[in-house]
Amino acid sequence: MAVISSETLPVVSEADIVSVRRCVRESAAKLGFSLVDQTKVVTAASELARNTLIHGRGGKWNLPLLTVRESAFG
Amino acid sequence: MEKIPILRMGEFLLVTIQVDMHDRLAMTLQDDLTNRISQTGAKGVLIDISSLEIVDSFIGRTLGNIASMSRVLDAQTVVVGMQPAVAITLVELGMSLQGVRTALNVDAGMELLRQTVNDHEEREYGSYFQ
Repeated sequence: MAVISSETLPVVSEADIVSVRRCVRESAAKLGFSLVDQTKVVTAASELARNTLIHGRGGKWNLPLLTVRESAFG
Repeated sequence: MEKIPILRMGEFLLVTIQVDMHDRLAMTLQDDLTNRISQTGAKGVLIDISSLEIVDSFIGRTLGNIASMSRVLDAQTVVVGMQPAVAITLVELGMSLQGVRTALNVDAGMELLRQTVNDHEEREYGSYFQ
């Protein structure tokens, strides 16, 4: 596995939830996810970011993109 | 403060959500809408979510709350224009927006709203006119 890129975003306000969504949407699109899969991933990210903010009193969002050799799945 | 505009058209209120919904904006919309319904005596609310790229549990719950609050204030709510990917995600999440009436687009939504309001008034007040 190799890290292609890594992004870190603060999650300390409601506006940050929107930033996390945008960041995840861009990454998913870049990786070639279908629109439905993008929407699912972004929705999941939105739930996570909100839980981080409300129940975890804020934190950081780290999104590394990894390359995985296909044989790793075999 | 950022707000989502609410337009009045006859006895209906129209809302088009064209920005990324953050949580406070959704709460503000809920408050504004209930206030406007009570001020104007609107009979129906049409919410266009065609620009919303996601509907997560919070936004879904807010839409449900808006529909319930409107109903208590004697107004019907129709949500229109949901993107297919959003519908798939919502249902797979286990949220089917129960209690929220939906229509494919604004045209179908207005028609549904008119019908619902007419049916509702006939049922409620029909006997007075006989």
